Amino acid sequence: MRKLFVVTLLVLSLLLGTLPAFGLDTELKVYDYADLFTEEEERELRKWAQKIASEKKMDVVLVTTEDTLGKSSMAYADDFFDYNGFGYGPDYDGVLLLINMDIREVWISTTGRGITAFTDAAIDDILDEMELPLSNDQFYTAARIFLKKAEYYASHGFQKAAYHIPGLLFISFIVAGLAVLGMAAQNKTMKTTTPATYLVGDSFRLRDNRDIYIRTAVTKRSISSSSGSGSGGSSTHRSSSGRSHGGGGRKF
Amino acid sequence: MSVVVYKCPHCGASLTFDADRQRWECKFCLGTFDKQTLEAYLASQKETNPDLEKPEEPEQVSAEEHVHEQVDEEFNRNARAYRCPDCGAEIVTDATTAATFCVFCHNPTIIPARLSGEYRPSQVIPFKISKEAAQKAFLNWCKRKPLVPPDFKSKPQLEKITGMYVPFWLYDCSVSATLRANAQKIRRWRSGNYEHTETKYYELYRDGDMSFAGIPADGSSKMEDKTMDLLEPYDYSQMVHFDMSYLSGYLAEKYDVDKEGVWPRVKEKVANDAVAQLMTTAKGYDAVQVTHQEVRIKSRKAHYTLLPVWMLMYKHGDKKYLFAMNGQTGKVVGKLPISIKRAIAWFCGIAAAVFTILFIASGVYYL
Repeated sequence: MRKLFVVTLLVLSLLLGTLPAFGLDTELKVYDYADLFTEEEERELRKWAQKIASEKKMDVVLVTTEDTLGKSSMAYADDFFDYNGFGYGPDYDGVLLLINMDIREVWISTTGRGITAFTDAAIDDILDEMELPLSNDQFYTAARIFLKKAEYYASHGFQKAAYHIPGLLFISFIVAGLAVLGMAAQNKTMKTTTPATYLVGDSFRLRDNRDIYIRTAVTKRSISSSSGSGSGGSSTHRSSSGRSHGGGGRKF
Repeated sequence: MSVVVYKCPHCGASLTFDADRQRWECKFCLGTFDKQTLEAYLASQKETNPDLEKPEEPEQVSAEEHVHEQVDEEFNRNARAYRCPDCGAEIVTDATTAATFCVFCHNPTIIPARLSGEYRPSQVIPFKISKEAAQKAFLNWCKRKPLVPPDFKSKPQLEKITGMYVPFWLYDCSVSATLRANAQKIRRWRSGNYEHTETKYYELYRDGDMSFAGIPADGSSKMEDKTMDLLEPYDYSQMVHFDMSYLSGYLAEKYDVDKEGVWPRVKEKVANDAVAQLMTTAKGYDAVQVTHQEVRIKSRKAHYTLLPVWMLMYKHGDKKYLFAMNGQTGKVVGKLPISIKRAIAWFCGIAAAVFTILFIASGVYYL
């Protein structure tokens, strides 16, 4: 059993290690296979995407294509991200924008921390903003909107997480403080008698032992269901590589 | 004024009570004697030397002391002089000392006048823990405490550990207690989008009789009440009728707070214990609030008892720390110094460890 586990791990690590080798240069960030941008535009978008990626430690990828090899936009976007080795950290944090010219569809795929940063509501917001320029074939404008929004939501996710640090510190201090107080208490002596210590064995006699029921009160409180409200949720699915992705898209 | 020194039947050197073997031991010829042998020897000694049988009437003794007090009031208020029967040196004691040592020949010395009449204890628990065992128990107690300064446990200071019989009043009480309380049972459940909370209100009435035996309170104003309370409990099954010979080799005090003086403390303990006992019958409630309680003492009886305590004064830095140990069970009472350095080190270490774990678990580290 143990051996099997080790072998599996080895094979997996080999596979994962070699994955990027099959792919392309993940530092380019912009892959304009449908040739929608000019050289100049591509350079601008690339610079911006690289900046966001290194600042937010979250990959930002733009892909345009005219041929999805028979896959749906979702599957193509997910696979492009997974099999080319994009993503930061153990959870492959990142976001990918696919402009599929084959069926004129736009798709945003998120992975790792990208899933939590880009909630369903956030993705809808981005798509809403992009819809008009896309339908007018203003692809550069649409891409800039995507990057601008991506930067915003990635930072938003960052702030949300950074927001936890004081809380974590607080909990740590409380735990450490309680532990040290406990240690300090050991330097004092505790009482080792109970009320029953000096009670004469069978001397306890109850003369009166009444529990009188008075009344019952019932209160009810509505529980607000947590799903579907606000910007909370991100729906996810599994891609062909087995990783979890979030995302959404629409036709233009 | 006279004192008693228990002599070895073999060689005439002084005897001390050995806690490990529960026998009397002669440090000089290494002979040990059990209670019967010692009593038989003492009885034979009385025949030949009637001087040993002395209970001088306590009235006379106190009268004599009274005269002394007038002569040298300041000194005699707290100190009393006796003559050591062995070397003739003067033994100066506190007014409450009942057993001590001669400072010159170090003979264990007992002052019978302070153990007779109203000052005669009815019972005693002899020391069960020897000096060596007491020192070891103290070291063990200090050992596994993370905040004790590392240089705290030094051997030489442990030598000064002293065994003392402390005067206690053991109270037997029979009480009747009444209480009224409000109680609630709370049940929560969900149905649909609602959480329901059902609270059932009850009124409880309890009235009962019970007896307590051997509730202790120390009768020595020198001893801190709180410290003495923490020494509890003593195992009364090992209690024996009082005999002066158990005091040989230890210090002993006589009471200076009489049984009425300690009664308020005992009464409070009894009242708390009685209410707590009644409350044990109020089971199955989520919350109970006592609204009325009354404890009546139907009868009480106090027994004057000497209980064994090891005392240790410990100097660390400029501060003195007092430790007391139950001479029967070995329970140590006292406050150990806290090393601030160690406390800070532990605090930082634990905080860092907890933060790291939470940090990794929450995934925040990756940002």
